[in-house]
Amino acid sequence: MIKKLYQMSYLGGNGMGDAAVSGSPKISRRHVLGGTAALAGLATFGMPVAFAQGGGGTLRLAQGADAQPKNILAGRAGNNSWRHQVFDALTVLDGETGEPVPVLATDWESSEDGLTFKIRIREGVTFHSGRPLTADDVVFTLEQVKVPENASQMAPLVRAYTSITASAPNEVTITSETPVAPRIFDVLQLAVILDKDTFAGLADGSQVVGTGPFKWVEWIPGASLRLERNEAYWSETPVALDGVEISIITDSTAMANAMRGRVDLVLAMTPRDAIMFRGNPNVELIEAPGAQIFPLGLNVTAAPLDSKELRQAIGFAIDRQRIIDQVFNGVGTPSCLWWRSNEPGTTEEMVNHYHYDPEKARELIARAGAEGAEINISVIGLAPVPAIYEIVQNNLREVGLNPVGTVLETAAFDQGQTAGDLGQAFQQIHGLQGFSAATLVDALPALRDTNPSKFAPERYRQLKDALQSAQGEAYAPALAELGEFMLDEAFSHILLQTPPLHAKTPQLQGVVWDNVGFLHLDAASLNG
Amino acid sequence: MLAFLARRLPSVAFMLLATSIIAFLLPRLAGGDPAQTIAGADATVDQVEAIRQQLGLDQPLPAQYLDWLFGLLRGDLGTSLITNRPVGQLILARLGSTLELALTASVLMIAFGIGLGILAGSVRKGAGRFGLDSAISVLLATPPHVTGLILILVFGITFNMLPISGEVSILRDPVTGFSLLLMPALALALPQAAMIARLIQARMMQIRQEEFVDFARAKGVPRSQIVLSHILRNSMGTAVVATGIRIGELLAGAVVIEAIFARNGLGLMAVDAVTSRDYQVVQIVVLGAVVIAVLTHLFSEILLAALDPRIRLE
Amino acid sequence: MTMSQTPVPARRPVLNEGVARYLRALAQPQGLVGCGLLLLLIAAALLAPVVFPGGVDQQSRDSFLPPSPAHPFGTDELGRDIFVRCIYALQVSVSLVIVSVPIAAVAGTLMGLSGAVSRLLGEGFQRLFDIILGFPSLVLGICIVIIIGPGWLSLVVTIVIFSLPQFGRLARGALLSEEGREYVLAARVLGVSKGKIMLRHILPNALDPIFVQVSLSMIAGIFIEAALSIVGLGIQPPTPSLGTLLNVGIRYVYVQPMYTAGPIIMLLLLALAFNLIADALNAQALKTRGE
Repeated sequence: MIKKLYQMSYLGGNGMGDAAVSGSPKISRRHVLGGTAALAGLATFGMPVAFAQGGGGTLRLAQGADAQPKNILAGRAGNNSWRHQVFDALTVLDGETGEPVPVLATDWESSEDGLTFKIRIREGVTFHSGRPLTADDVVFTLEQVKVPENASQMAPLVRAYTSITASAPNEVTITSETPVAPRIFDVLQLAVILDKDTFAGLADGSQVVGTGPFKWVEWIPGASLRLERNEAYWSETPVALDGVEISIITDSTAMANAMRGRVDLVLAMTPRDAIMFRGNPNVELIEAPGAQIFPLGLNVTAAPLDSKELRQAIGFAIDRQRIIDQVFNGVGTPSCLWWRSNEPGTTEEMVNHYHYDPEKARELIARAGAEGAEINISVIGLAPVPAIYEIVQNNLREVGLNPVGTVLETAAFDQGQTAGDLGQAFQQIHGLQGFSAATLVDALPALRDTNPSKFAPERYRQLKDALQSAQGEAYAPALAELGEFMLDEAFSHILLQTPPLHAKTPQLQGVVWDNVGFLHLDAASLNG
Repeated sequence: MLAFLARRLPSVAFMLLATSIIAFLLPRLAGGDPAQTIAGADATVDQVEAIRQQLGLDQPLPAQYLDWLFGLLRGDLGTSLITNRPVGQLILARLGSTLELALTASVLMIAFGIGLGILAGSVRKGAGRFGLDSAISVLLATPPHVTGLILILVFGITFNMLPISGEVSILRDPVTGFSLLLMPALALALPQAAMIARLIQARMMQIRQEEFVDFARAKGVPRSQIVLSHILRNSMGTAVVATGIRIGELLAGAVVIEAIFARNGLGLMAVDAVTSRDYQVVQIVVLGAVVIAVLTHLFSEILLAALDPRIRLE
Repeated sequence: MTMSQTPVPARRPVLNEGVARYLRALAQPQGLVGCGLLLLLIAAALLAPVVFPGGVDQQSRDSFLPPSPAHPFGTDELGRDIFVRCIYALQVSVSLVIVSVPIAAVAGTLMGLSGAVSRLLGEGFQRLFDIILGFPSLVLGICIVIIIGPGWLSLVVTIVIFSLPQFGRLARGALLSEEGREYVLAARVLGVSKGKIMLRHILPNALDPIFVQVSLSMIAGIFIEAALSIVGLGIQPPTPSLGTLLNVGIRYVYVQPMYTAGPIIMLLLLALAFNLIADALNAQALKTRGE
C-alpha cells in the first residue's frame, strides 16, 4: 500500500489521515499572510487537532546518510530528517502546491519592480540557548549562504543581492538588480536560521542551536543522533513527541530491516528493499517529494553528439518504463523534466516529450548518419546508476549505436562534474527536486552555465534570464519556452524521477514532508 | 627478553615509519579529495577550492606529513576532515561493535579450532579421518565473505532461522544482538579455526612419534589420558602462536564481513573514510592495523617462549 | 620465527626431472580431477560466447523467473539468465588470476632471493612483506582501486601485491636453508657470481613449494576479486564477474536466492579445482623429500 502522503498540504498534515486530507481547504497565501501563526492558524479552519491528546514518546528513525551539521546550509540527504526539527526556516515550500508558507517570517512584501524585498520576522521566538531571535540572525544566516566554504547550492542567488540589511529589529530588507521573488523562497527554504553566537559549533556538531521544535542533544558521527523536545518552542500548538532518536544505518537492506520493530520510521528505502513490506499491515510506504532525477548528459561539442538528431534519437531510444519496473521495482515516473511537475508552465507533453520509440530513434540516427557510432558514457559508481546504465546500454545497442560505459568512483566523478568535464556522455544523479525551475537551471550541475554538456548558446542564457525575472503570471509561459527549448536541444536527457520511499508504522501520525522532501515532525505523534 | 626486544626495536621502528609514509600517501594519490566530499556533488569550483584552503590541503605534502607525524608523537591522532571530530573519538565510538564481533569470533575460532584439531589429530584412519580432513580443507579454502554468504543462504533464507543483516548492541538487547552477531562471527571464525585445527593436527601427529609418548604408552597410561595430558599439552604452544596471529587476521577480515552483514564497526568506518577521502581517519586506521599486527606477532613469540622452555628468544 | 605453510624440501631436484615430476603429480587421481575440473570451467567460459551468443546481456521483461530447464539458475532483475552470466563471469575471475599470480610468483621469488645478492635488499623486502601482511587487506585494496580506478587492472595490481609476500617468504626460506651449504660455499669460492648462485643453485630448491603456492594464490586471487566487488569496487557492470554478481545478488537474496548461490557455486568449484591441484603437487613434493 503506497500512500502519497505529500498530497496533504504542508498545513494540512496534522495526523488526520486521508479523510482529512481530501477535505483540506485550499489555503491561499493571502490568508496565511494575515499575520497569525501558520500552524496555530489551523484551528481557524475548523480542523481537528489530533496531536493535542497525548501521543508523546520518542520517535525512532533510521536513515542511510550521516548528519552533516557543517553543511546545514547546503542540501544534504543526511540533514533532511533533522534540519527542520532543530532549526526553523523563514518560509517553507508547501508539499502540494509548492507555494511558500510562513514559519519564522510572518509577512513579506515585494516592491512594484520586484527589486526590493522586505521580510517581517516573528516576534517572541528564542533560540535553544534562550537568546531571542532578531533580524541580525537572519542577515547573518543569509551572509553565510554566500560563503563558499558552506557549499550552499543557493550561494549564486544570494551573491547577486546588492544588500541584505536589518531595516528594523524584526525586519530584513533585501535589494537586488534583478527581481528577488519568487526565487528567494528557494533560498529561504534551504537557509534555516542559524544562531550567530554558536555558528562555530556547527563545524563539529558540538553546538547545534536553532529555534526549532527539538533540541540537538548528542551526535555520534556515523552512528546516531538524538534530539529532545524544545519546551520553549514558539508555536501555540504543543509539540507531542518527547524526542527523536536517529540511527544511521548505511546498508540499505539492514536499514529496511530495522522497520521490523526497531524503528517507527525509515527514510529513503530502496524500492528493492521496500518489496519486503508490501502487504504488511504494520508498515505504511509513502512516496514523498524530494525526488531524485537521473540525467543522461550529452556533450554537444563532441562528435558525433554535435548532431541534434542523434541526441534526440538517444532520448527516444531509452525504455524509461523498463528502468522504472526493473531497477526501481515500479516506483518512479518516466519524466523528461529537470524540475517537479507541479511547476507552473509544465505540460503533459513536456513531461513525456521523449518516450520509448526505437523506430523513430533509428530513423533519426540514419538521418544523422550515425549508425554504429561509438558513444563513451561515464557512469557515476553510485547505486542505482550503474544498473540504469545496463538498460541504457541495451537500448542504445538495439537502435544500432555502440555504447561503451566506464563506471567512475563517486569522488572522481564528482570532481569531473564540478570541473564541468565528464567526456562524451555521462550518467549523473541529481536531487534538489521541489526547488523552483528558475533556481534549478543555475544550481543543477547538468544545467548550469558551466555544464559538462558544454551547452551554452546565448539563447539558453537569455531564456534563463527571462524566467528568473518573470513575475507572477509571466512565469509559466517563460518556463514553458525554456523547457521546450531544452527538450529540443536534447543535451541532457532526464531518464526518470524517483520519489524517496519512506516507511512508517501506522502508529506514527502527522509526519509531513515539504516540497523539497525535508521532514517536519512538529505535528507528529505516536499513538498506541 | 629485554635484549630480544632491544634487537627488534630498530626494525619495528623502521616498519612503522615506512607504514606511516604509505598510509599518508596512499589516500592522497587517489583522485578526488575531501574538499569535494564536503562541498558535495553540486559544488562549484570556487566552493571546492575554498574548502581545500580551509582544510589546509593546499599546503605542501611534506609539511602536511610532518604536521601529522609530530601530532602523533604528542599522542594527537588528528581530526577527521569530514566530521571535524577527533579521530580517536570516532574510533572509540565504533570500537564496541568491532570488539563484539572480534571477541565472539575469537571464542568461536578457539572452540572450533581446538575441537576440530583434537578430533582430527585423534582420528587416524577410515571415513572419519577423510571427512574431517576434507571439512578442514574446505573451511580453510573458503574466505570469511564467502562463508558468510553461504551462512546467509542456509540459515537466513533456506531455514529462515537468523536475521541476515543489521546490528543491535549486545549490551542493549542481548537476544537480538546475539542473533545478529552469530552469523558474522561464525563466518569470520571458521576459516581461521580450520587453520588452527590443521596446525594442532599436524603437531599432534608429530608429538605422537616422540619418545615420551611411547614411554607413557609402555607404562600403560590410558589412551585418552595420553592425548589429553601429553600430546595436547605439548601442542598448545603451536595453538597459542597460531591464535595470536589469527586474531590479527580476524580484524582484517572484519571489514568485508561488516559490509556484508551491515555492522557499523571499524571496518565499515575505514571503507567510508576511504571513499569520502577522510585522509586523517584512513591514516590512523592503516597505521593502527599494522601496529596491532606487529605487536601480536611479537607478543606471540614471547608467549611461545614462556610456554616452551626449549625455545629461546634470539 | 616464520611459519611457512609448506615444508621446504631439503634436497635439490634437478630441473629437467622436475617437469616430469610435476606431470606425474598431476597424473595422480587428485591432480587429474583438479585439472579436469579446471579445464572444464575454462572451456565453459571460453565457449560461452559460442554456445550462448549474446546471452550474457540478453535482457527481457521477465525479471526473477524461478530456475527452470531454460534458465537453470533463473533470471536476474533485468531478465537475464543467471547461469549464462555465471559462466561468463568465470572469464574474468580466471583471466585475473592467470595474469596476476605468475607475475607475483616471479617478482616475489626474486625479491625473496635478492638476499643472496645484497643482504640489505633482502632485509628490506622482508620488511616490506611484513607491512603488506600487516595492512588491513581490504583497505589496501580499496586504496589501489581508487588510485587506478575500478576495473580489471586495479584488481590485477591488488592480487599481485597481496600474493607477493607468500612467494617472497618461501624463497627466503629456501635461501636461508641453502646458503650455508657446502655446494653454495664451493660455488662462491670458485667465483660464481652471486646472481648466478641465486638462480642456478638456490632457486631450484624453492620451486616445489612455489608451485604449490601458485595454486593456492590463484584461489586467494579469485576470492579477492569477490571481496572487492562485493564492496562495489571491483569489476564494474555490465561485465559480469563472480563478485559483481554477488554484489547485486545479495541485494535480491529474498527474491532470487540463486542469484547469490550461483556465483558461490562457481567460486567453490574454482577453489576446489585449484585446491586439488595444490594437494597433488604438495603430495609429490613430500614424496620426493621422503625418498
